[in-house]
Amino acid sequence: MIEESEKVSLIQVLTMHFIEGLTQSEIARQFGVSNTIISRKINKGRELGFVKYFFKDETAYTVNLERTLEQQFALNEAIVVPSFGKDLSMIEYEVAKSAAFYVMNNLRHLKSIGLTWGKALWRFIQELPYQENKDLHIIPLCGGIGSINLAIHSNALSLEMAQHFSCNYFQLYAPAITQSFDLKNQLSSLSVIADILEKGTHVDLAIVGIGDITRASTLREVGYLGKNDWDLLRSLGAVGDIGCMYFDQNGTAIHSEFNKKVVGITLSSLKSIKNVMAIAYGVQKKEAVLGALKGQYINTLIIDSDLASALIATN
Amino acid sequence: MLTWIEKRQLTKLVTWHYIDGWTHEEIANKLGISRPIVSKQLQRARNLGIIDFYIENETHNTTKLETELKNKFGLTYVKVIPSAHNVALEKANIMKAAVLYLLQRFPSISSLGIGWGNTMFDLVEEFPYHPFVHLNIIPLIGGIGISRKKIHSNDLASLLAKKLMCNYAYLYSPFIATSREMKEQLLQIPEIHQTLTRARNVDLAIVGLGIANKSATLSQIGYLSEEDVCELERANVMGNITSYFFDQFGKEIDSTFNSKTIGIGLKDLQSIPEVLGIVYKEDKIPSAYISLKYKYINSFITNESIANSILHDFC
Repeated sequence: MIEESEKVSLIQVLTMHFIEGLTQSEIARQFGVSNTIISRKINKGRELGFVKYFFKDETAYTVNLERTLEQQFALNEAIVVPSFGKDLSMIEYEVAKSAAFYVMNNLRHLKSIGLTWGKALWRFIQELPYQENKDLHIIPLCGGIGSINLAIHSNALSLEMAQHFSCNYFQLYAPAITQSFDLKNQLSSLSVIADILEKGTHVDLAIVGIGDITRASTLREVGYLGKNDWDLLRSLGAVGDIGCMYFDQNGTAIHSEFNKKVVGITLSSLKSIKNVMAIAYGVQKKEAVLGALKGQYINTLIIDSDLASALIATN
Repeated sequence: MLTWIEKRQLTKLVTWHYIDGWTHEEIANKLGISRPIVSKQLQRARNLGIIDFYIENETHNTTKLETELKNKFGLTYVKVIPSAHNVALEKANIMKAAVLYLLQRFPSISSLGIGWGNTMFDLVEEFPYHPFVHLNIIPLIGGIGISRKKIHSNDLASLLAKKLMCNYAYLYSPFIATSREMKEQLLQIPEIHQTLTRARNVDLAIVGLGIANKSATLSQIGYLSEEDVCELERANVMGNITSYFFDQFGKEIDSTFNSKTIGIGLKDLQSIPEVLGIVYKEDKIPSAYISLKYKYINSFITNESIANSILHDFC
């Protein structure tokens, strides 16, 4: 409890500062005291809970989710789009648009961009404007996943993004998942593949999708993985993947023959990239995104608010 | 008009500064902009009302008035705001106090009824964006055809629901029918009947109190004619809630006007567990006194001088 007289004085200063909008030094001058005294009073008033904040803009809800995610998972930036009252196709559009906004906003700092694969990335590239950026290089971060849905493969996405920016691009001529560790090693030693993989580990910005292992997973949909693979992954505790590299709920890479057969950027290489931006939406990705965040693979996260609140609630 | 992205940025800045306590310099470093720009942006956010403040300011006198009102009328909740020289500020403080109370009540209720009028409009304006997805907001009276401001129940229910990201009901009925017969017919329509039933069964209702004279909002929008006013005055009208007029004994006046309005009446209000009345204008003192005395409202938020007047001029 504080003295009534002190309270009156605190409230007077708080009102001048927060309601009338005077600066600390303006208030100090009016009372003929030092800035420190005023600053101390303001802090005390805030600590005692005399000041209540009203966030009156419609962005307040998602900004608060962004801030919580940024703090909980040490992210550079989170962009959360509101999903309340929207269906999946509207959410896809909003997430893609936000991702495009982020990239365009940071483009002048970028010399190279790496891409994994997936629907979210494809959708995002559709939202990019056509704007020449000759010095930029686009690099695929993983091989092809079979022979259907080619448009969402890493190579196709790289080509498409390069068309938007009229810039350079590379192609990775390998399947994402090979038959054996041995074959993968042979492929990876070919300079035409090794060079691209090497470039992929040094991009300024990697843009990745996060795969889940639910029935809705695209890898499952396209039938690239057999039932045995799924059972194996699940028995090993896999919750999701980035570029077909699977990790568990803590984000630890799954130690299995499976990850060893994959041609593409490894999870540990991903960690050394300055900025990895993930695009994801839909609550079915909750476990997968949480694993990726806990593994600290992600620096920038673009998601919808349902997924964001699910992540925060689970963590 | 600001874009979503600009508003998001301003909201983020004020959150870092006021909630997380970041200095201008810390924000400048995070965003790679200069300190003067941060300072200008924070000022801009305040000017645009993206953030707003309320200073908790109870005094011995307001606490004493609250206790007296609570004991005298058996109130569930009461808040008396100190009178201020600045009328606009005082009004804003009353609304903000009401908002803070309601935000604290929302987790434990599932349905909220809302009346109509300028007071309700001001209240909804002061609400921050904060999700209470479980809540249902129900209008307590029908719609008014034309008005400059969105002050009628349906509009306010949907505006508030947007801010709270919750559901709301719509009363597809005009506020006043042209005859008793028409009113009876309207009440037979299933969707009108259903919404009115929901309105009667809300957990908490918020209402403004009305008066009956030429300056009343009802008169100004042309709904209450001079003859109506004369008729009500002959019956010793003291005021109204949700446009149902009562006399000095709290009895609903059997008037032509009341026989045609569509909404929930005084008896209905008495059976709602909590009805919060908000009053900031002196001319509503008699209306407030009767509403408190006959328990049409059992929670009350007002200013010091109105509280004084109710306790000392009437009791």
